Amino acid sequence: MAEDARGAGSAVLREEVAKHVHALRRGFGVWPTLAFGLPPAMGDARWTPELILAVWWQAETGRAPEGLEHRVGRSGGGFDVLGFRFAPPERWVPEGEPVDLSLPLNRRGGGRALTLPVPWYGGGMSFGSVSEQVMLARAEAARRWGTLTCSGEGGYPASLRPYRDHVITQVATGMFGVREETIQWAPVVEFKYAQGAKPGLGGHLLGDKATTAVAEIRGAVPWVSLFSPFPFHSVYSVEDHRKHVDWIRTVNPDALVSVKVSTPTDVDMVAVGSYHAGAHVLHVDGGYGGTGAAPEIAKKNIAMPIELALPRVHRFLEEEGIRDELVVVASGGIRTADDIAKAIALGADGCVLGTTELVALGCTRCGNCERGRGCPFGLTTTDPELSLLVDPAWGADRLDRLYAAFRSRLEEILRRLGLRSVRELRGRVDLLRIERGEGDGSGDAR
Amino acid sequence: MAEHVAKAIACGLDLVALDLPLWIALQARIGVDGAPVAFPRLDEAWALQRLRNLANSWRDQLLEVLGAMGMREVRRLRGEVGRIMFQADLEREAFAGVEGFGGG
Repeated sequence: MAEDARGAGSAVLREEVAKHVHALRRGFGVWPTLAFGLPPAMGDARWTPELILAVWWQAETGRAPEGLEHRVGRSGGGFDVLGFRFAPPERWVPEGEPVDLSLPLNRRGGGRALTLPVPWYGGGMSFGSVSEQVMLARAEAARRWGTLTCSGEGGYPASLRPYRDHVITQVATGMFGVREETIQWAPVVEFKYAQGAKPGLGGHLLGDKATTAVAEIRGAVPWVSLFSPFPFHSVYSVEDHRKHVDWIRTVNPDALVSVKVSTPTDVDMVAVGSYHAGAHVLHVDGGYGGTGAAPEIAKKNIAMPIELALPRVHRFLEEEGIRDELVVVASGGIRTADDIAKAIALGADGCVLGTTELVALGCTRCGNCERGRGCPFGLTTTDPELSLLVDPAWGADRLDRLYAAFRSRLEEILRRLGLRSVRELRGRVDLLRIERGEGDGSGDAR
Repeated sequence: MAEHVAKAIACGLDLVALDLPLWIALQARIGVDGAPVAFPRLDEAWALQRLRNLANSWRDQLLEVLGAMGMREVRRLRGEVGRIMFQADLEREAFAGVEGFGGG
């Protein structure tokens, strides 16, 4: 770890880190109480200050806050104007009776049986985009919950090996850190064909973040910008993709195959192609994800928001008669438990969390993610000193409690809809309603 | 905004003319009720650099969008309405079965 590299005997470093960690953690606890009001410059219309503080609160306490809007933002569209059509109270599933949140990831055979106890897992964030400490925190949380996290395209730090049953190995266009053993360890191998935050653009890790540790694991030169090109230059057809899947299956016949794509207008055709190439999971990544390192013009203008892509994919797979064989997971704008439920009602089977987990660890959405020492919270950095601000055990505890809060809220939504399983919610747009400008504040409608 | 350039060209224009964004780049105070536009600070070298920065930023963003579409020259974008997604159309398709959707 970074501290060893710097020298364990550095008392000055330990003292400085302890001082900053104390102040940060105190802030994460105090700000959500609104003792100082809402921070005026925090967040944006989708990630409002209230939503950020609500996630901090949930990561502190394991339950939803009272007096802070924790369900929707104020973007005026998409998830933020969708509400639920809850059933009359006499049709609610009573407290004490079980509600099933589990999500089977293999519905077509040809690989291991794998069922997640909750309908979400952690999305790919590479070693390079985030610190090793953040990766470990996410992996530990995934292990505790029996769900998954993803390596991202930046190699597989040795410290992740104990968590390998819960780590998806991502294979992306740069092939950074992809090795035979990391494919063999993985319960799921994810091909990243595109990323919703920057479709058609590939990845770009600025030299500032390509430290010696990052470069070593990626097989690259330190302090040089690293590009993951778009597209896979070996894949220009479904048949080419099939070759990729065959290659993975040869190396690890037991692994499930996930295909991560963005949301172009022909995303429905992409979904069918992915199925015919042998994918178990289709990961549809909408445009609202990505860190501050992704170009703003791409996040705002290229490809569809996830809310608009999901119904198209779901309906087309149904029409093709293959919907029940392919697991569709949604990411790129999933902020809350309510978003998870809405995405499932729009046609997903489950969701993938990325930014939400970073917010739980202290992210304020300030957008300084691309620089080596830009992140004031030690999250999207690979700087050996700055990354010490996140202790993996502390981070795992926060994600643990966030997951608990999400589970409670998701169960509450299902109970009020009169559903006993999250799988019954899939594609039920009839259980949603548009509430443009009708925020009722009752806690029921949304 | 930078994205409007790409969208306007995709809708059929060859080029766009900028006026208001240039004023804003020069920190203009836009007059209301007939008051004239004022430039509190308009040192020539400073103003020139501001406009250069704006042009560079918009060029970079246009290149990002063109790159994502696999285009190597902006002239290929002209009139490519097939590249455009209209929010209202997408919402109509996605939310047609949702209660309260007014049709976009």
